[in-house]
Amino acid sequence: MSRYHIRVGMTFGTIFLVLVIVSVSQSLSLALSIFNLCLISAIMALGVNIQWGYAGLFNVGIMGFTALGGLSAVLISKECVSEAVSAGGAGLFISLIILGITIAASLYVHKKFNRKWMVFVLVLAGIFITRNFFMEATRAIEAINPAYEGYLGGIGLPILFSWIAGGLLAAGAAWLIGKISLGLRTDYLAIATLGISEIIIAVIKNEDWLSRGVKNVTGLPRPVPFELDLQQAAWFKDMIASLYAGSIGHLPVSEQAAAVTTRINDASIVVVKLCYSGWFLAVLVLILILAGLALNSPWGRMIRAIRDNETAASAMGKDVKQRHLQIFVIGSAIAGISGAMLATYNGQFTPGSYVPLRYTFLIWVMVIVGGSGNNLGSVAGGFLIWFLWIEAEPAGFWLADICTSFLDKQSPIRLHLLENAQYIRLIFMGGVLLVVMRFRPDGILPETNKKL
Amino acid sequence: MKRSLQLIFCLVVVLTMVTVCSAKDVMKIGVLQAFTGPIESLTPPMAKAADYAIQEVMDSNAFLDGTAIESVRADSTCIDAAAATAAAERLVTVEKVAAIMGPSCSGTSAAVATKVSATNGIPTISSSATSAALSEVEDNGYFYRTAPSDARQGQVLAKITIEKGIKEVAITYTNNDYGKGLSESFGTAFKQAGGKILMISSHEDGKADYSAEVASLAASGAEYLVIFGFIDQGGKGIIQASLDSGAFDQFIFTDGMIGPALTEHFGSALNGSYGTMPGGESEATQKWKTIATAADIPIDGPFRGSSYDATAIIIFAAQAGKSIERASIQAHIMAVANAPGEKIYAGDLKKGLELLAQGKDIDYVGAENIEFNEIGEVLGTYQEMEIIKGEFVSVAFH
Repeated sequence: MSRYHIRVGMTFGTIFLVLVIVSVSQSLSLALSIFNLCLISAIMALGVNIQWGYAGLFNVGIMGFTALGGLSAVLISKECVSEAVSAGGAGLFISLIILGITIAASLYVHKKFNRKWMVFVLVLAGIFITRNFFMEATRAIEAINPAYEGYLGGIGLPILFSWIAGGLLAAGAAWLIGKISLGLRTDYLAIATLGISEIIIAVIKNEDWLSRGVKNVTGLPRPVPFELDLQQAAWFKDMIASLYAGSIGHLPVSEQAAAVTTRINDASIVVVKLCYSGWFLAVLVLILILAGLALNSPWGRMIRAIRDNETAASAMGKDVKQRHLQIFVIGSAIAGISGAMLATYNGQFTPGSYVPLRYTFLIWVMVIVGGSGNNLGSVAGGFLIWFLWIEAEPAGFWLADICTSFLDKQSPIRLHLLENAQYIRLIFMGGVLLVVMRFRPDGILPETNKKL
Repeated sequence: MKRSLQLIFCLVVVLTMVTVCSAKDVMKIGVLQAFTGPIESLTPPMAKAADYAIQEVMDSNAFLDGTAIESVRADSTCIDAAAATAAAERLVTVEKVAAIMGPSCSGTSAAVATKVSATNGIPTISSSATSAALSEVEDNGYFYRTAPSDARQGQVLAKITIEKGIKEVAITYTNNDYGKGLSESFGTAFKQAGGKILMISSHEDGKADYSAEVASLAASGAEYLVIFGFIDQGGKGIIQASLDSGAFDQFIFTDGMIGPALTEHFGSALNGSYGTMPGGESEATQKWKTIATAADIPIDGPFRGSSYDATAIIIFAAQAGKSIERASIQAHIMAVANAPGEKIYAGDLKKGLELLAQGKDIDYVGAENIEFNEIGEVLGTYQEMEIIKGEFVSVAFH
């Protein structure tokens, strides 16, 4: 057992232990909901790690791909709004065709005649004609029952398909974006991807006909049973009653019924969360295995060679741009899958919640703290940072309480600290990043086999 | 080995008994409000009003043979549905609250209603979620609100604006379902009444500078700017940019913008601007105003009365069912809030508790004339607030 294996064991062992402590001191249900979100964050961090750790691509726009994943959850799982489709579907289709014709024509004219003014006029004409049909169509769609619908709806498939569709949609977008911007390096790529992710979010927020924009889509179908259904299912009730027969039997008869109901309710919540955990864990393990296999293959070695010395690799005949594009697409696809999983777990798609602090900064901290270049490191980072992010609020409140417990109950310092305890989360996150950077700059689980 | 197993078993049994038994002594009410976020200056008085209701009940000593009531606060953030759901789940599973008063904003309310209230069967009464879309949220009957839907507020505001002789306005709304919903309901009503909307533009909360939005709104030529926003973020920034550039000096607001934070910051520069917020003028509201002023709860902002009402209804429902179990509270909410029954106003909580203990029926009217329809919503009346000499003053009711 090398030092590295011991470290891996200790890291994941600590995380497991901490979750067990939370489940005992607070509640099992809370520990499981933290665990589920840890799994989703770990997958997001994996997507970033593949881009940064494998290929050195500084992509600060993962939020956009996550949002695309969430969008696909809506587009796949919601039922089609037939009146909206009949009202504006034809118009949308026409505008799409005209847009395509405009692009093709401009490319052709540019190639054949190479005159800027001709291309300019063509593009302008195309925009006006497209816009005409587009605006009319979207206005018609958004007028259909705007309070509860006002959009096209989806294709009504089971939501699990959206995880794959989200990956594909994000991959498609990444291919387009990569073709345009992957010629740039580090900081410039970062700015470009940051801007593009904001564009994607802005489009989703404002195009109501697509996914209701900021009015949000709630009530996404679930891949797991409802808690209320479990609570009313006879087989479930019998199972829980027999499981707890021992402890219930010791209570006075008048309280037994209430105690059984509490047990059933708690158990239904836990079981549903475990079902989610099962699905997410399956996806995480699959991605980890695939990524590990890819990393240790000749392809993986080539990618890392390009990262470490691009000039040498290119001199050896490796197509650097193609490889970068490949990695960009794969990493973004994984981010898209995690976005779809997040929307599934939340049961709703709220584009307003895609804020840089939560999706860009936090995911990058996970990768850096966990160990960039190491898949297990990103997973560990994902678990650790998400756990700290969530528990920082009650921990901050508890800390403020303890630190000022010797003061008078109404003293201004105590009141101020208690009222603002929730902001400790941000201080805490920054502190963690600083400490890790100072003592373990390579991350908790640094990259193995750095020397090829 | 056998000995330690027995010990562990006894420990588990004792712990179970302790948890089951100790749950009976205190009823916890979760106060899930947006203590951080775009309305963070509006929520502390709302939570204070809720705590005041609890205090009044505790002082009366008439609740369920002396059971204590505790409020547990949690932050719903207003904009992050995932954080709000996590906070609500913590209240439900860790703190084991009997009911939730909140959340504050419409987006987070939809999330909590579907993910926490409906699935855990916990009665949730929001005192400030006003979006029209919440009328159709799938809550299995567990979500109520003591604040009226914006579908009506937009119509009321449009009517007031036309009556003042204002025919042309520009609208800016915060880019979320609250702002969008209001802009749609106001826009439809205003156009139907003959008004013209010269420009509609959304703005994002959290930006440092809004001069770009203000410039495009001013270019429309409108004299009046309707702001459907939040007082602590975008709304304030828009007003600042408008006053600085001289683009607008007359504004029209709704509840998210009405509060002392606005007048303290801008003072008499806003004289003549007006807005609507939920609130009534009847005997009920007068009683609430007296009580609130005496209890040092500021009334120059929205949703204080409705927060008091939401908490009181939860407590009355528990008293009516003689139990602090969630299912019992849920079963009695409609009965205590609706006619028939003895009318209970703000400040009469002791009387209501005593009547319920005797088995009589009550009709809680409270501060905001509460009467739930079949989906747990109120019709509501609106207060027209105008800024006179740098302060918000209530001028009329609609």
